Amino acid sequence: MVRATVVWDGPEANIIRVFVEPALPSGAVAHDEEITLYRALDQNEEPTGPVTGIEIVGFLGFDRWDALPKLDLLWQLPGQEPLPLDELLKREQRRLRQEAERAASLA
Amino acid sequence: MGPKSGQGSAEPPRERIERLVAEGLMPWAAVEQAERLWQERLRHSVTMPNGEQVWITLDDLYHVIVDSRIWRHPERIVRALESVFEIRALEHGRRLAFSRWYEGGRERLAALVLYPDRTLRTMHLIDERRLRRYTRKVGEVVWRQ
Repeated sequence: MVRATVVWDGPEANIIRVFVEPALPSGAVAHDEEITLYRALDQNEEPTGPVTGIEIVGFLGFDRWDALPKLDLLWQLPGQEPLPLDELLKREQRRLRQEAERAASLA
Repeated sequence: MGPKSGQGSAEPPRERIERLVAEGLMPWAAVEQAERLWQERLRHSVTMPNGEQVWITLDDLYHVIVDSRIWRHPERIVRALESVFEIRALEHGRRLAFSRWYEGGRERLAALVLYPDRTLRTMHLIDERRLRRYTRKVGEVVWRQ
């Protein structure tokens, strides 16, 4: 199990990043055009180490859950129960969609 | 340590950077160097080889420098934009640009996600294998040098 935090700066950018805590020096490894993994850097500054995070572009509309990398890890956000990555992301997507809808209705 | 209480479970990019600095995981000097580059170059836009100007917001800068290989060399953001050689279409008007440049005799490759409003939203250093994988699978070419 890993502790994790979510970085999100709103529906306009629409990119979620989930990072393992505590953070390690990391580099990105593209998984596909929307999904990027972060891995710890080795001595040659190559991202070959353990997974340190994931980034998804277009997250509010993302539905390719089968395309997520298969990671044998449970991820735990502060104050929440540990979950497989896809479950955590689905829950965050529901929450962030609600937030976006609420903000749009107030605008 | 995690996000501050009272903001749900999501952390804004700037707060994450401040936390990484506070935890000794990133030097403040690196953040200042990246912010200086943004003030002097990036906020005024960078012109890609196809003639198009691209902007990056300060929040997106904080995202991009999460990669240690970029916060140690923030000038790579400018080099990457100025060295784009191919742009492909993604969904929702987004585009994926590929970039190649040389540093000290070593080739660097990057993939950059551009949004319809001509902002650079994320950027990753990639290798030749990833580039080949992308170019086999990702949408149609909309510009090539």
